[in-house]
Amino acid sequence: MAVLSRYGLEPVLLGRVFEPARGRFGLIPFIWGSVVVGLMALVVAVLFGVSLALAVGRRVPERLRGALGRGLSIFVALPSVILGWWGLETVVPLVRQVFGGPGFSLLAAGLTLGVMITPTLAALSLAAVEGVPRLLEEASDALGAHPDQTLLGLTLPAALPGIARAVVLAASRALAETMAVQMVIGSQPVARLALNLPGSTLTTGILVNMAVWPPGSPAGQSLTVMAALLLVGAWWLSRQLTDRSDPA
Amino acid sequence: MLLFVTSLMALVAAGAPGHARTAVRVMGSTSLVGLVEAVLPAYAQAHPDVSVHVSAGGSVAGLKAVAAGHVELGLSDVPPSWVGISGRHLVRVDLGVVPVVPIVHQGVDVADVSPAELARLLTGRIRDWKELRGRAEKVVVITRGPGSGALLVIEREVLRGQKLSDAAVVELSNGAVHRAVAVTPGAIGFVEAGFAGGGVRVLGVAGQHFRPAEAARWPYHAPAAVYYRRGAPAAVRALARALAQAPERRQFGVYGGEETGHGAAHTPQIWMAGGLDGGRRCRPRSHAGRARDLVRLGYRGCPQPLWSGAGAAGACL
Repeated sequence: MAVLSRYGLEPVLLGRVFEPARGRFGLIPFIWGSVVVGLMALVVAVLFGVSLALAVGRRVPERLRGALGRGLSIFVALPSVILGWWGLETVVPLVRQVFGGPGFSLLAAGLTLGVMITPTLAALSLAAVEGVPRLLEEASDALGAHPDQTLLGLTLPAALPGIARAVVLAASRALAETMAVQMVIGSQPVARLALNLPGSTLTTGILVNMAVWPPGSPAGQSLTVMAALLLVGAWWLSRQLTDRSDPA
Repeated sequence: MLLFVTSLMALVAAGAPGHARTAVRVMGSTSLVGLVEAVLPAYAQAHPDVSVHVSAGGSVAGLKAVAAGHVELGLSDVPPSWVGISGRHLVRVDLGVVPVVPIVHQGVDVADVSPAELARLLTGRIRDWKELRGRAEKVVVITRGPGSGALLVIEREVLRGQKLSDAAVVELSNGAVHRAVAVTPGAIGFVEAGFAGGGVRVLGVAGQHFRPAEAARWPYHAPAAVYYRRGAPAAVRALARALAQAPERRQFGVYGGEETGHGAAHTPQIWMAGGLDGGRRCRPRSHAGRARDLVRLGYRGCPQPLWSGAGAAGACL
């Protein structure tokens, strides 16, 4: 790509300053934002999603299980703009109150995204948990194991490959999400450790800048590089998924 | 399946501009889209054979789209030259000027700042309102995204080469900035005047407070205009003129000829975007004239209004 050959691979991919008007196209702020927001979202989603899947799959009474499963499906299908709105109304003020700063931040984006992908991860993990043969658990119970020991020592490890696939799919959704993140992140292209301050991700960076910079311009080409990085990320995640689906 | 395909084709056919109807696509500044929608009913009565499709996207997107021929009319409060878009094939019709005003959260008890203090607030060098004799509250800067006309005006008129705070929250529309300022304690942002309504306070600058009746005195303006390509159909030119003459302009924060005391009907000034269309004319100086002056001066070097509202003297430009 012309922007890489003209400005160099390192200043673009490892540059910390994104100021297209001044000829600086560093993408580190967006890469950093995507990684940090994605990791925070995964932490939230794995904690709550897997717990939810184990609880619904093995602890909730049979008559409630169907209703809870359907409820999860509804949340999976929620449009991201609604969750973004919820983040704006709930998470942003919460972050502002607890951690200071403007509220619009990497942290708010991570938490909102975490809540957003939790139903996806929970629904897929639930399927994995339900796929564990009851016979094994009954055998464990018969050997005198406590129900919690069975759950954590047998059901969870047996469902782990399916849960790992769920995590990869949820991570893909987190990487690609734009609207909900844009509504709460603050869209400032700065890489910093302070999570309570505004940041930007690859997707929000493209969204904010795409209407401004013409496609052929260096800035427009830097957006193409950002899109290419997203594609590489998605490809890598899909490879993880394929590897985990492969029985060999 | 056949029913579905047939229905789909019927819907597509219904949505496509038919042979008998001329389609005019309008795109650009979010702050001007409302004006277009307000003008449309009267325009549709006068032009029943024309269908108009309006979308936002921002000034720069509108300019790019009209320059590329993707839409017939581009709405912008940014001249093409500011954003590196060639205006050689475009005709500009002045709508007036859009004042850009700083707004603060209602809890901020500072009523007025100097231009230098405003710049220090927006660049993040003033971190707490108590530095300006206000109640102790951290300053939170809310700004528009790149390509916004309001941001360009603030960069040129207030910041003058200084960088906006890197902790500023970036929002994509006037409405989003207004909302963020309204709900964030200590927040300061800037919007086009039509969006400075309830829930926020407009900050005075250098002892001057924005009042719609005295919009001409306000120091920060964006020049609003509608652009079409040379040789555009009559329906397109007619819509551009209807927008320029619309009495609703002020309702949408666009201030034009009526404040200069030359009557309610604003005479549209039509330009080739690269220069005058039809040569220089001598006319009373209007808001559009001020916008033109500002563009000619590169929007610098004119910190005071070039004219003073009602009864402004006529001037040859």
